[in-house]
Amino acid sequence: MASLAGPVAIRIASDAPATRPRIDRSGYLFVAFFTVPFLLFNIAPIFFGIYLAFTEWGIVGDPVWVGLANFKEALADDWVANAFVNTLRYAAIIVPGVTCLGLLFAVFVHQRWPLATVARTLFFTPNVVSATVIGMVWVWLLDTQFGLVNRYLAALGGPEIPWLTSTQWALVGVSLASIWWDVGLAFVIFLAALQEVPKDLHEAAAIDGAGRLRQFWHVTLPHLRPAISMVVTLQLIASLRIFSQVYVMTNGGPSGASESVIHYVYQAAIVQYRLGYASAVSMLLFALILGLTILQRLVLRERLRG
Amino acid sequence: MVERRIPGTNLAWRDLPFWLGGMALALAWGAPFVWMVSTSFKPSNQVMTKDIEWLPREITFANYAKVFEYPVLTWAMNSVIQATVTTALCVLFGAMAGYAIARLRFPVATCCSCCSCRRSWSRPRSRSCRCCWRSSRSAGPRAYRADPADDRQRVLGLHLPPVLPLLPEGAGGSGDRRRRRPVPDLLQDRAAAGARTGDRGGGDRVHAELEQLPLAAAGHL
Repeated sequence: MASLAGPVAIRIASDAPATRPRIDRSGYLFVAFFTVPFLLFNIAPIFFGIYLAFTEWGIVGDPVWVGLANFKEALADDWVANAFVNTLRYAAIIVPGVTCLGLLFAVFVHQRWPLATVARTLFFTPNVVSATVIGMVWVWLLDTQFGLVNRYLAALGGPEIPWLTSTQWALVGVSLASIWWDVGLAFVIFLAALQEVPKDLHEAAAIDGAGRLRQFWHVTLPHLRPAISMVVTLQLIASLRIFSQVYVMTNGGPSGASESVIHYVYQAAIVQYRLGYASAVSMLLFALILGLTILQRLVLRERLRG
Repeated sequence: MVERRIPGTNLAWRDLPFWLGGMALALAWGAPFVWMVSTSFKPSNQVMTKDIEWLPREITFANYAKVFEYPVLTWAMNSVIQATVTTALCVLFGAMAGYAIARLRFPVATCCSCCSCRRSWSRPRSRSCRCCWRSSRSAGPRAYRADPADDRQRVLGLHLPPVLPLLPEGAGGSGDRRRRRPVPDLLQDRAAAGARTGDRGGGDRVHAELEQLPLAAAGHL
């Protein structure tokens, strides 16, 4: 009897003649509808941005070629270094937070206990609200005097934390709002992946005497590795590009404590009209994202193979 | 050992603390959203109060009335138009390009299919790709790979297109991305031949064959 679990191959007798296939020229037309706008609006701006990184341009007039001057200035700029360090801190807080909470919520909802549908809705709801609204709401919630978070912390005997007004906590406050917003997507991905885990493996593990934690660690988690890898990669990229929350909640302050790279690029390009310099910083961020993504993928691929 | 369950539910008594904890977490997670809705019905002088007020002391619709002092409907209509047009064009143009690369034979498709099949994103042997087509002749008849789990993944909508080379393993919703179930070229060719000869039942028969393929692959037929 054929197995239901693994891939099965059926050989289909090919009656195709052994001649060179003809060219379907209509294919060009089909592809052009997608390719032309894609090249115009996605690829061309990237190359234009690369060109601008080597120029000085303030929108008015023609760009002036300055070579690597923008990159030299960016690498020597303390504010750029601060923005990069902050962005890496955002990633260090948000990525594990979203991944762990998303997994926890998905495992809970996957049990299909009573009111699981309500819980599922509550966990996913923040994800449908725009980042701007999230920022506004969390500015209220994290208010030092009247915010809900500090009220409940006080009720539990905790200290009054100046979430968005101190250099020590501003980045954490923005990260909290980001985690609350982002968990919904990770939760849905994990929930879908959990439904892929074969039940018979859990039953076999239970017969072998494995408890719930051991089943989760040795059966569920290995099956979730691809989903975890995907969530970590997507979240890493999203965290490194964080902007809206920073813009709405702190505008990069106080004293640049919550400044992200994209917010800095916005300030340089739109507020100071230094488009060449902003493009150079963007290129540096692109290199960082590319490097981290490749590194993360190599590490996870090795673990998957292992 | 039989677990004692709470009557009328699938919840075991020993799971009750976990359920309570999880539901508390869910309520806490939804609290900012509830706060946002509740605040929208509060007068502005009751938004920031010394005590926590989840429900407004007096309900006012003034905030909503104020919203409509601005051209909100125009903004909303702009968003709707933008979302509708973007979605429609993305689906239409994406489907057209995908169809051409997967099914038609022309040099650009050769490039794309080569990359795809070498990375095992697409079917193992692509007839739209000349080099694959050549190697497929030496490799013998094409194999059709099917896996019942693949259908479940497709229903979940987790198969992402193979255009993001940096996406991790399993971005398609499964650890084994080789398990794709393409529509065999042979069946499409027969449907096209049927259309040329005026055999209108060809499409239905091909569809029926496609429906049976996963069953055949699983050994049910």
